[in-house]
Amino acid sequence: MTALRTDLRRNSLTLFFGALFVAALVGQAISGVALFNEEQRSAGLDPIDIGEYVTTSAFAVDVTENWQSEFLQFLLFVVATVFFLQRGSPESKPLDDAGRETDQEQKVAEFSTAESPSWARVRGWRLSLYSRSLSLVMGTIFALSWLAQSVTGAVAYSEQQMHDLQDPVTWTEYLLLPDFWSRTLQNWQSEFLAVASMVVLSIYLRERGSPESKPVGTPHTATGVEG
Amino acid sequence: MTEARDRRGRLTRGVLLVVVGVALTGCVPARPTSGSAVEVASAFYDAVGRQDGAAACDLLAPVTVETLEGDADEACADAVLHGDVGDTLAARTGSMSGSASVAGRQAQVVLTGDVMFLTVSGTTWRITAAGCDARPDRPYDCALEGA
Repeated sequence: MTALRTDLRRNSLTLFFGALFVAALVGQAISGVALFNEEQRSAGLDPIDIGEYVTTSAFAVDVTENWQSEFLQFLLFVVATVFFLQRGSPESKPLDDAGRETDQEQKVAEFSTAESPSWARVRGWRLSLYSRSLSLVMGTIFALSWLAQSVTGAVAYSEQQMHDLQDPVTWTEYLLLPDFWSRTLQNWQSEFLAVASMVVLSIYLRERGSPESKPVGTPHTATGVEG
Repeated sequence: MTEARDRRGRLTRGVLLVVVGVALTGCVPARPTSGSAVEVASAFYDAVGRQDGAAACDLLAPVTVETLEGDADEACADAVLHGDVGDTLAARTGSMSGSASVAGRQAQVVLTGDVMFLTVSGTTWRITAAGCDARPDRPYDCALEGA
């Protein structure tokens, strides 16, 4: 029991956000099906249940358009912070550390330790791949989410078109339509604003105990210091 | 340490199995096919051709029936066979074969002599618009359509 509690506590950050994710997704599905059924009833059509609603393109495009932008945000944040700096921000590396850093600093190959991941210990394709594995996985999820948004968005758009007595569109036609780019860019702009705000606000503001903030008493000019 | 990791691994695999299982076997009712959309569209013109207004109206979406009855000020079974709507539809009877484009719960059926729009209600297609003519950069102009 104690071991389980310790285990839960040590993974509580993932569990907390995992639970929030599931709760928000369920809430989105419940409110989404309610809105959908309002429109069905006003047209004199049969309502659908939540199981059917979560398979609709309308639900799928709303989910995936947010997923792609979130994964893009973190992908860019992970990669941009390798090369770009912000004086005074805990989100930035120290001002003289820009770039991929030395093997010694990264503890790879001959500089690895007994506890280093196995792919970090030997030079070769495994080390190259593992050195970029975070951005590769985030980038892959972003690309797949964006692809899913385009496919489900094309279906949802065609559905609305036919509801409005207009011709449906193909996937390739949809990629050039304002609907696809409006959905995409409205999410991107908010993500980029949030990241820029975090980088700048954390220069001057503090959150005691958070690793995303500098320690409260640290000067504004200190860069790359996490609490 | 290893035991805890194994337990986490089993937990993760268990959760994944449940999620995938629910996703694959979820109780999602089957949607009507594009083929059945063409069948409904053809059946509508078949009923109009037989002067069976009631059978034709059974295939219309409720909002389309309401609009037709409101505009014509008579029951759907009569309104669908008479007046401008009846004349337009009668001129297009014989439009029996064609193809359908389906997106989600909406379909467009293109028959040899007409373009029709349908929507899913329950497990069947219902016609929302018929007797439609294309207009550049605007919605189809339909003799029969919901509000």
